[in-house]
Amino acid sequence: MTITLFVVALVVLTALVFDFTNGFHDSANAMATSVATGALQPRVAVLVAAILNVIGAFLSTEVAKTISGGIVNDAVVTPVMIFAGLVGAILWNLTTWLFGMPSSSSHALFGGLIGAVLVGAGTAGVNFSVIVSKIVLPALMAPLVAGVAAGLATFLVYKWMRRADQEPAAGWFRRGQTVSGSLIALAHGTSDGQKTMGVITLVLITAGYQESGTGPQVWVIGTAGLAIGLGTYSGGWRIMRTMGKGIVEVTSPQGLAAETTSAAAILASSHMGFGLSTTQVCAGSIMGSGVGRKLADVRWGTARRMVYGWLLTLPAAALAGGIAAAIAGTGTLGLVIVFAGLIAGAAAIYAISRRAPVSADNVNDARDVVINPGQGESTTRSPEVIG
Amino acid sequence: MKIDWSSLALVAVTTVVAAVSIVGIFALGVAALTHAQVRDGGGQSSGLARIAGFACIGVAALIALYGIYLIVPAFH
Repeated sequence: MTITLFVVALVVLTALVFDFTNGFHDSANAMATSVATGALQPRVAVLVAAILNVIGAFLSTEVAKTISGGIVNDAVVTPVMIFAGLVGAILWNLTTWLFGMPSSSSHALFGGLIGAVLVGAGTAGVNFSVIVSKIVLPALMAPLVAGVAAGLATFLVYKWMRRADQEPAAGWFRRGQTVSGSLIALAHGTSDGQKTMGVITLVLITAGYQESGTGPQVWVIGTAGLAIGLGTYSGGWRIMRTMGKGIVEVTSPQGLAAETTSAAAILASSHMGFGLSTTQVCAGSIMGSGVGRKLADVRWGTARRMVYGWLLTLPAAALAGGIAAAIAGTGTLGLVIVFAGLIAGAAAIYAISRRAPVSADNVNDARDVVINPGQGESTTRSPEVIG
Repeated sequence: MKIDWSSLALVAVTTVVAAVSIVGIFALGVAALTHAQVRDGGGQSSGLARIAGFACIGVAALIALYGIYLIVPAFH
């Protein structure tokens, strides 16, 4: 009994840590273009996003149930497998953050859980058809649709107003951006905030602390909302730089078009019950807004690396989750080893990030996130993007 | 394998229509407002352009608010 309580406490704690990494990984989605165009000061932007994240988490608890039902067979899943899946997801989130790579936190979570359940319970524990129709297909479509919509919107704005990115028009677009960015933060709170609530609720149910079929408890909603809000407030400046500066040099009309498209896509899909990746939608919109203005405006090298990151996320998190499940499944000692490994891995990644830190003060100073300070020359404008 | 193509298509169409209409209407409003500012500078009357501009931005904001209304189950 006490062992069960210990495991549940460990999983809840790990889930909240994942929620925190989710927050700072996705902070950029809502605010990167607003920060890049100067519509909002960096610190103000993350504060607004954090508050709206928490509010968003309280608005709806529908998505929380998608986690427990469908992807994995909850009859054979144990708290230890969920713990291992979370460890895999956290480590992958931190690794991609180190490289400033806007990968999907949702895919990291799904990947980690799938890998852990595959190792812990075999192929019978995973519903592959649900994975294809609910995750893989929307993941392929979402960035394309968002890109087309944002491209079309940007194209129209510049067709009607040739000087849309000059004053005084640019000022109005910047004011509009504060609203459109906030909408994404709200939508993010309702979709991603609930994914962690779903995981914690699932653990409480599998351990017998909560009736099956009931929704998240109030303290779960509160702590999960707070964790993702705190994560968002901490900024995730490395990813903010890639999203705001690395893909397209965003002007305020493009920022407005990209943000509005992202918000519309996330809200529409939440309404239809798809758990879309906020990250992929936002990156797709930003690329589309670059294409819509000038066909050559997108830095395709960064875009290509980002797509590789997306393709890798599910299998890489699954691998990490699977290894964690294999070790944690051996007993309490294995569980402690995995937890220690998580702390050590997180500390190492944080230490490496300090070699070339990105903060609220220098987020807009360069386009690329580097690991070693010596690689700084890549921050100068490369000739192919000036024209 | 059952794939809900109609929901996927609906999400895609909604995204494109909502994004293009909100951004388009907002841009029309901005065009009217900058026109008003230019006329102001030239000493001409700008009231109509200003009203039209704010009306457009208001409509864009209403569409966005309707989107939030849709995702909150407590409102339904």
